Amino acid sequence: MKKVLITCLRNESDTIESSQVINSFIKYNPKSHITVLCYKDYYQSAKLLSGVHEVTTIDRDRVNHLLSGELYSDAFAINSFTQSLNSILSTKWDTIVNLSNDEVSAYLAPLISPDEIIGTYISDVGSALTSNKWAMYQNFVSDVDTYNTIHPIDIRHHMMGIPFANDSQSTLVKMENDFATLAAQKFSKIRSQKSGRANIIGICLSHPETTKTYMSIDSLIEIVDTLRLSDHFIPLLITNGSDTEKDIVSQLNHRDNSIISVNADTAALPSVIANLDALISQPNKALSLAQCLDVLTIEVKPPAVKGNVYQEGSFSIHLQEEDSSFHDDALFLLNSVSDSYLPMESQNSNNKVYAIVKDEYSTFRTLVRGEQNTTFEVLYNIQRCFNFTMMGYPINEDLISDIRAHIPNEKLNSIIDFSRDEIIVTSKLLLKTIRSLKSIEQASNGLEFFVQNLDELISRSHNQLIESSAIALFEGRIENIKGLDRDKNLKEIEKFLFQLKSDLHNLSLIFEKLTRKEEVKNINL
Amino acid sequence: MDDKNSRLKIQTSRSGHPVPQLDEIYLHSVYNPIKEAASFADSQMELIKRKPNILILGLGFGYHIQEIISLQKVRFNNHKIVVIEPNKELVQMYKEHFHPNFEIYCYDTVAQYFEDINFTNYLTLKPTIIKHDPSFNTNKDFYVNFLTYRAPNKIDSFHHLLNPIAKGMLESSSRTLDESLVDVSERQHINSKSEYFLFALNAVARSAQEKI
Repeated sequence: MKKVLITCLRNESDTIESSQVINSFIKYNPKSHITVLCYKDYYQSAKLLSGVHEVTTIDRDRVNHLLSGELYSDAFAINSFTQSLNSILSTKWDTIVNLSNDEVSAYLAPLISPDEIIGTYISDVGSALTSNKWAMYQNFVSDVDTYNTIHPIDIRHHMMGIPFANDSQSTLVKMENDFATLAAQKFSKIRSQKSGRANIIGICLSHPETTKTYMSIDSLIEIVDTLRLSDHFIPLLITNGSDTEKDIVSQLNHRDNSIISVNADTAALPSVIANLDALISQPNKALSLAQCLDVLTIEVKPPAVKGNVYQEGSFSIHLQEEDSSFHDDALFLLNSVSDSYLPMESQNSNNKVYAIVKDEYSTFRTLVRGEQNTTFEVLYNIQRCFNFTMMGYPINEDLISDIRAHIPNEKLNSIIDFSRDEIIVTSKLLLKTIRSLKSIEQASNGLEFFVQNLDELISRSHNQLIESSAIALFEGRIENIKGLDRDKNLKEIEKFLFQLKSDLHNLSLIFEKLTRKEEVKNINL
Repeated sequence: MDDKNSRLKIQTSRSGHPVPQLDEIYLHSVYNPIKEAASFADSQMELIKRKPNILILGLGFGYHIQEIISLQKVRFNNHKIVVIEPNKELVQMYKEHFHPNFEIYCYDTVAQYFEDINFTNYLTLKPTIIKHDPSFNTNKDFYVNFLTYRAPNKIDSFHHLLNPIAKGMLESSSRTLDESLVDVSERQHINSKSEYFLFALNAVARSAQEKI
């Protein structure tokens, strides 16, 4: 039996999301013994993952407390850490997967020395090595991809070389029978409160893991009151029992204390969410669970937070500001999926509301409400098309046709012209770098000049340009050069520079297809 | 002569209770140690009601500790009192007279307390600290050293405390953990599994600091 260690050392939502990849992996590798390594603070969430045989934890709070306290010997922190890792260190692993692409796992993997490492790991010279092109994408490109064009779940499937297992019978997260039975009974009772079969809309009050901001209380009051007064909806609040959330519940119950609220611990949460007809939530573990359980999800995404939704049929409300109101957006979406008419204050929105849809490449988002920023939406789609092309896929002709059909040619040209100007700058810098590489031996400071140009080129990956992803991938390729022979390494870099040139050429090709003159005439007719 | 083990006698108070006398100094009232202890506990009320865990500096003959325990019981379901007392003879005599319902740690040196993992685990709960003044004053140097203790951080100073797995992972050295990491960074080459281990440990600590 293959022994596989999957490390999830980023955050709780990410750990729950890993259920999708683990499920797909097991389908295509049924004879595998899967162990998950996570932090102790979200052990309960890791225990929910289906198909996982063992969960091992690191008590990072204890390690940090002991290391940072001047009273405590560092020995105790080290002992705590090694005790956590004992079973892992004493096992001969076939494969370790750094699924969450975190730094701890990148150091642990070479320490543990499995037969195979999938993902990012640190070399003996301190560089970030990646097992394949998709691991390289996850480590180098994801961070500079302003538009978040490819979801981590898709990236990880590619990284592990497995197709998406869309098996509707499989359960991605475990549900305890007792909780499931009890939840089903209670929810059935709740539904019968209104004539016919009411839709129970869950509203998770918790903040995302990366910020401490809560949803606008005014919007929550509007949503809860509107649903409460409707014939076919019942609001249900999901809380974690904290004082802040208890306070929010009180405010939402200001009228008659009739709103149902559930304080479910992690073990019971899947049973609660599985019985909802929809969940409204910020990106957090409840939202990740809803995605695993195929519950209609309406994500409320603050500006500084990365969205989590990936299931086709989900929605994401991208807030204009942290405390922006969003009740009309949520009610609009509920109306659109359930053919209802919940009253709204305004048909317009300052936010951007996206539906998650799917094509043969991956899931992606499309604007369904809110003022369209044409430049932003077009660039998102071009970026997505380019990123897949860069990873070896054919150019998405359907997407290109779609853009051409919906965007006026003049507007499209002005968007592309701006990007072209930036690509020209990048291309000039690229050529300068190639030339300086070829003339290293011709000047005493030839190497220094080359490195300077190389650094300047790589730094453009952080300028939020369309070609940033290609430059980041180029940087990844250089990081993965393992040899010590200077001349061989320079030859490799030269190869990668020409690879980058080819990627930029593909981007120009995409622009050309978008602005092809002979087809413009047909549209004008 | 060892200060801690100077002549120790047990006298009887007017109220009939045993009271230790250490170098002519009584550790409790010779009239009524129970009443004195109750008064002492009252004076410490603000500290006592703060947390369920209390660290008491100085055993005396436990009267002050029993009063504190009775006040704790009313407030907290799960409370714990730990006492440090460096005088072995006093601890022995106490156990001959009473059955302690609290934990006593008794070591010769300050470092030994902080090398005891169980004692360290208790300290991580951040207990309130209450000093028994008569005990404190008879051994001031010890208690001041205890309160100002800083664990040595060179690897060779704590290597003996490592468990067998950790010993296999980390070689002894005259450098601290941070210095070892800097050495590797400057060298720009990771030479051993031990060094991978150090970086992983460092990254774990940082991840705890960075989470909300």
